[in-house]
Amino acid sequence: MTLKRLFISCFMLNSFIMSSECNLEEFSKNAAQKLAGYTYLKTYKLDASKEAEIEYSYVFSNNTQYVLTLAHELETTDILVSIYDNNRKELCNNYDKKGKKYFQGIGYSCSATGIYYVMFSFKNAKNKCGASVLGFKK
Amino acid sequence: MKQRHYKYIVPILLGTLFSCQKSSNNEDFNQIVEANPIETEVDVSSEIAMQVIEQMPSPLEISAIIKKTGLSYNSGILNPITHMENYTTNSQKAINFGIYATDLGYVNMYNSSQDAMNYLETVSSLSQDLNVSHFFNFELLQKLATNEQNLDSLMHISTQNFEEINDYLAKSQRGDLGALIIAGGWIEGMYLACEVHQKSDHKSLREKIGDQKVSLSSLISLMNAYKSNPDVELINKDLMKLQNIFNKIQVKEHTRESKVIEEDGIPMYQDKKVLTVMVTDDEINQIRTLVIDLRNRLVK
Repeated sequence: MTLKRLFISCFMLNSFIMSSECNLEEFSKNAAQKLAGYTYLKTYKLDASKEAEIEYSYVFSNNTQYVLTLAHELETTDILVSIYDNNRKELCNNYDKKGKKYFQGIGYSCSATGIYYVMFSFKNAKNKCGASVLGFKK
Repeated sequence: MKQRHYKYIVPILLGTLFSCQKSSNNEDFNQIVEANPIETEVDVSSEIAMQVIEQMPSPLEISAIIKKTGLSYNSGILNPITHMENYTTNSQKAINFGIYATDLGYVNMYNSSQDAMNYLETVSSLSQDLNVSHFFNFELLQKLATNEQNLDSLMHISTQNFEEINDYLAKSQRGDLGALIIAGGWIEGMYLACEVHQKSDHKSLREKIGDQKVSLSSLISLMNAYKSNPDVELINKDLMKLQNIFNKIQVKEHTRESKVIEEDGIPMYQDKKVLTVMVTDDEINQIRTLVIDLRNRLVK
């Protein structure tokens, strides 16, 4: 009986550790698989256990369509991804106000070459872990 | 909004006293470097270097435009793999690693599997010399290169590997080599665009060439950080000459109605602001002359 309890406790502890682990490689792979029709550019690994928001920058080019796909635990986590211009003005984000949901990515058709900022923030997140992949097409 | 804080160390009084400062993300990287009076002693934070590296556009974007023009594949414009034996110093190896990596991207865009294999071997060999070969799964990449159906995966995985190498070099004490790899990649992208444009005078390539001011500024910022390496400084002087030409190019701005469409369940935003570069024939010729001269000196 004691051994059975010990086994169950170990199993539960192991399940807890597994669920709290941040499998960035797996999320990166999943995000890349969503790049249908776009050429891969970059992977952003999102482990926000230490920081609430994660920011990256990239030079977007004129006449180019960019897409940022997302992968994370769908049941427990939402990720808000916002794109800002060089003056830190928000241009768009993946939150659907009407449907009150977060899209699993965002696209931006660039018509002014410049440095753009991409901000990821975890919302309603139990596990602040995920990945985003940037792709482009002409 | 989150503020990133960067530390950079300024050695004072023969390196015996150090002072640390923090700067906000809004500060221009150029200003940070230029504000430092002791140029050769600058120890730029790897975080700042990484920020510049992460924002550099991929040379793949230029190869994609070249392919979109409908022009056929031309291996004659690439740096021949036989040149690899000429590169003996780490700086030469790093810059040509970047050049060959861009060539590999061009080759992959055109699904040329035999050339992909050859350029992959060259890049792999240079990565060993630069002690970054552990980022390459050469066997897997080689397997992918043998089949034209797999060239998309090859492009994806090799691009990811180059990204990891650049991150690693920026974080380590070899940021100068990382900067040279990035510079090599950028210069080769420009070279391919200039070479193809010279033969085709295609409008989209002309615009792409004239539109490189922002990425060139980022590259110069990165190179400035490592100019204690004389090879970096030498190349940077040429890049600054190029920047003088880019500074003269007129840019026209207008606005249009923004719109959002949904594509495969993802919202696609189209911005209001439109910038159009008005590059003249004379400016294109000046850029081309400088780029071709610089690139040909680097690959010799």
